[in-house]
Amino acid sequence: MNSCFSAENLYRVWDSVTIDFSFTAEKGTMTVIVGRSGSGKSSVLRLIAGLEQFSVRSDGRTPVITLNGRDITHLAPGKRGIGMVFQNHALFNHLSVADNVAYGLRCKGVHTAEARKSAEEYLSLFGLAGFGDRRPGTLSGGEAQRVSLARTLIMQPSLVLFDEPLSALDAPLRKKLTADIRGSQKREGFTGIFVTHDIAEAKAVADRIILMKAGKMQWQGGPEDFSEDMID
Amino acid sequence: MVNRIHAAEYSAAVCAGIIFTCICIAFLFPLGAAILPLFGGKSSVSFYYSKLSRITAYTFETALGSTLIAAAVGIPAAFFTANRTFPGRRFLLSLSAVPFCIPPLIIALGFVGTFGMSGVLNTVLMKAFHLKNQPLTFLYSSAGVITAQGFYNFPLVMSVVSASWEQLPTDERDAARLLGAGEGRIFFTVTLHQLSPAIAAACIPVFLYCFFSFMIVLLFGNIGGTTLEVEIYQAARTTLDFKTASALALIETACAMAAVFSYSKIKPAYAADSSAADYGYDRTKIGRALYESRVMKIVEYGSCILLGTVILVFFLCPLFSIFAGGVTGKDGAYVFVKIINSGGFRNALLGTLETAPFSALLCVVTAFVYAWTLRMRDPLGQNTLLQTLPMLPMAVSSVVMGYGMTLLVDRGTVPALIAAQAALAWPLAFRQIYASLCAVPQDTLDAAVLLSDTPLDTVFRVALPSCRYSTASAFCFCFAVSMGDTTLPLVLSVPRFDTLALYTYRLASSYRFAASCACGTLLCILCVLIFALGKKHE
Repeated sequence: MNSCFSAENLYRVWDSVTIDFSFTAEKGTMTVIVGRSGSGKSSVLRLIAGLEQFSVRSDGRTPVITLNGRDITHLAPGKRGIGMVFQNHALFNHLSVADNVAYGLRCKGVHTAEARKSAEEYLSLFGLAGFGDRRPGTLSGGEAQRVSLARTLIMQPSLVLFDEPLSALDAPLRKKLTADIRGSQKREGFTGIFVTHDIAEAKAVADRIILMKAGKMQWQGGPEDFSEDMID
Repeated sequence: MVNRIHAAEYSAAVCAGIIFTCICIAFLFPLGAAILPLFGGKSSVSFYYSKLSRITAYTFETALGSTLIAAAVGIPAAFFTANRTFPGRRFLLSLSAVPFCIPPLIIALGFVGTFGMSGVLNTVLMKAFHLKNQPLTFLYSSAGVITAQGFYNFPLVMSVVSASWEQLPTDERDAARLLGAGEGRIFFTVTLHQLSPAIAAACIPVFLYCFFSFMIVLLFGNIGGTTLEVEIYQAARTTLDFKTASALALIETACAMAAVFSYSKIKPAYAADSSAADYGYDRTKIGRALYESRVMKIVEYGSCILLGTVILVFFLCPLFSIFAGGVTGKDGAYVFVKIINSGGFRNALLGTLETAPFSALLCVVTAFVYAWTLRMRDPLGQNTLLQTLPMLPMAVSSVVMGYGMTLLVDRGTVPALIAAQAALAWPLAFRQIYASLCAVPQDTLDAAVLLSDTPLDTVFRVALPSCRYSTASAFCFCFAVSMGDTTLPLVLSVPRFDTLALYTYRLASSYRFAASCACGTLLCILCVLIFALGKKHE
């Protein structure tokens, strides 16, 4: 298997659930993690991104996360080559749309004008040309999520984590954004891990589905083999 | 039987209505009376424009300087209490009660005991370095006023900002982290913006408290460095220049109104922001944050040690030295026995018990009447005028209120003192009672209204029981505030009447430092006990 991403022994103990999870993802594919609320889906993403600390296992096994053959387990979140699209967009409300998209480039030391130009280009790619000077607060849910996607992809990450990005949107917008995400994946070639509790959404986005229950992998396979009763 | 219950309910409601009206009158009439002399008579204001502007500027400078110190200490302290675990974290957070339950006079005494000419630090430094003169002389100057006020109020900034920091949504900061921003950049480009409403909501009241500061300025203010509050007192009580006092009162109240108006604009934004928390907080030990660089760890340890030292020297030492100042006098610990057995103390204690409970009772009744009316008339909290009205007493100082009251009643009386204290302190009770009434779901209130025989049934059977704990807590809070109030009893000067706070001040101003510290310690203990009793009810 042409695995570009692997996560082994992801382990975290919460009061409500213990996450004990390992999986791999092939380059350029979209792996969807499905499960009920509280099954630990979002925590898996946060562990992969480095936003959450691992718990120490009693059996001595340690977590290992590799991306494109590079061990990123102990790297800071910003140095892992990972992007993340959040459920509530997580846009910086005090910055303009263009400054939001350019934020990561500015952190890397790219000159303001150059970063702004790239941001405008990315905004155009997502149908948001002319939105650069607006504030995130004036955007609709779908527009805000596309800005969030542009802000993530402008950094050209190898792996993009989607934490229920469509859950706050209505049905037509979900369909449109699903197409946007798949289109951008084809264009940019990133590997994606997509978390959702919506079966239809999972089937529409996935190349592979992982079913998660109580912090552990319950099933994995193609979207065509997945059925709703598996969740119960 | 039912009729008898209804009659009792109606009587109670009528009493509450009368009290509410009286307190409104007790607020508006003295305020009007304090400003009225400006527009009557033939004499002119004896102040030159330059002097007036100098006093106003000095008041602003000291209030602003104190607020900056409170923020400079409070915000870093809030970082540690919100994001890190360390021994003493709970103790540090509990210090937020100090500005509420320990009167400024006591803090002033503590500063004298620590940094005064014969204070602990000067004595230690002179002995250690064989100095002839005291090395620390900043206390009786603007620097002393600013330092004392700033450190007295820093726990307020710390507690408000810390609570907000814990509630901040983490997604924006996580997004910035994943986009490659370092912790410093995240703080300045994301966190600071998220925290700014909370910082403003904490700093504006601190600014107002410092703007109205009377005792500390009266004790530490240097010649030429006088504030509006002290000048109003001097003009009203010493030189009897009412026109000047009124002009100063008008300027002071107008400035404070502007600050209160800004505060009312910020509060809702801050409240809306603080409800947006999503992930739980993983507090780490100091210097153990995930992926923190070695340099940042050293910076964090260094800041923690520096901050701890500053808080120890400028906050905890003065607090401790109030007690130490009592026992290190020539009588030692026996000073407490002497004070308790003295007639002056007993009179002061009786005076306190004659005013504080009644003032607190008036506060909670007024607060409940307004809170309930507001809850029913404006369930969504969108009526800016109704929401802002209870903040108005924040814009009127004790000196202005006392000055207006003396003009109205001619001679200070105990009822006038109680009414004046209640007129200024009831918003403190209102905040607690209104918050607990807002926590009652609208559906519950609607059901109660539909099931109740009369509207008063809803009040006595649903509203009052729903907020009984916050009412008890508010009562204790107002009790402690009234007990610690030195300014109004001083300005009103009720003949042959003393309170504990006033008695402590009298002892201090007659240079009986050990006795005043002992009396202050006892007052402090009583305030803390009553405040803690209220907290227990929350």
